[in-house]
Amino acid sequence: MTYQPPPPPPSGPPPYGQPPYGAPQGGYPAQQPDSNLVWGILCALLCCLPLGVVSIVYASKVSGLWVQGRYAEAQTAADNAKKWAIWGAVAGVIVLIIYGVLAVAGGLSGYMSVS
Amino acid sequence: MHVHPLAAPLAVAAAAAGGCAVIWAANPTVPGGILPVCPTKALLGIDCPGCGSLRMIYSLLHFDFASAVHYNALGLVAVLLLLWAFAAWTYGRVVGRQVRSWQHLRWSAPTVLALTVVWFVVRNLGFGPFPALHV
Repeated sequence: MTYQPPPPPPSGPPPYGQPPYGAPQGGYPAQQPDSNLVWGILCALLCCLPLGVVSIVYASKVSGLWVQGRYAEAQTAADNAKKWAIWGAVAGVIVLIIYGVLAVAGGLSGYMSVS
Repeated sequence: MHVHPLAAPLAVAAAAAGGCAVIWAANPTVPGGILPVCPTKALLGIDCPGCGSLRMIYSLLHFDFASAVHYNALGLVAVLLLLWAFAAWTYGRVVGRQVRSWQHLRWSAPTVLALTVVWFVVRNLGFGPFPALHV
């Protein structure tokens, strides 16, 4: 006689990690994480680097994952959107510094070749 | 330590004003200025979705809306949306609760992504009316 393993417990609604924000909205726990979309747009607009687009890609996944009930993945996507926006800003600053150094060096060499 | 709720919005506004002052003084619409050309354009020779943004902002600061649309039309829309988000965020800080804005809507981020990708493609096409979008 073989014992069947017990069936897995019924998958109920995910546990409430945080108290609901205001009135319960369709049974969602807490509130959808901020997708950090604004930072991705700022990065794509001003840093001129594809990293801002990467951030927007992650931000665009947040609400879709959230309505599917994949709350942890939605949070991860939101965190990734923030991370890539920060990296884009860092890369933009680095490019600005390199440009400044090259401009100063070019200006100096031009000045010296003239004089 | 208690931080005034308006400290963060004021810091963002100050940073934006400083950036606008630099753009105004440097005039990126004249080539060879102190402001760098977009690295994507400098290295690859293509227009990224953000290319022309500095010139667009410079034109906006001078109320030259036609030039602003020419330099980066989608960027101009993005600036208006960012101003909206900033206003909602600041208002939320004043009243002490989170105010929902356009970026919290269900399809905002996917729409932004689609528009950005389409904009990236069409402003680099070399036929029909598209070269007019090249900056």
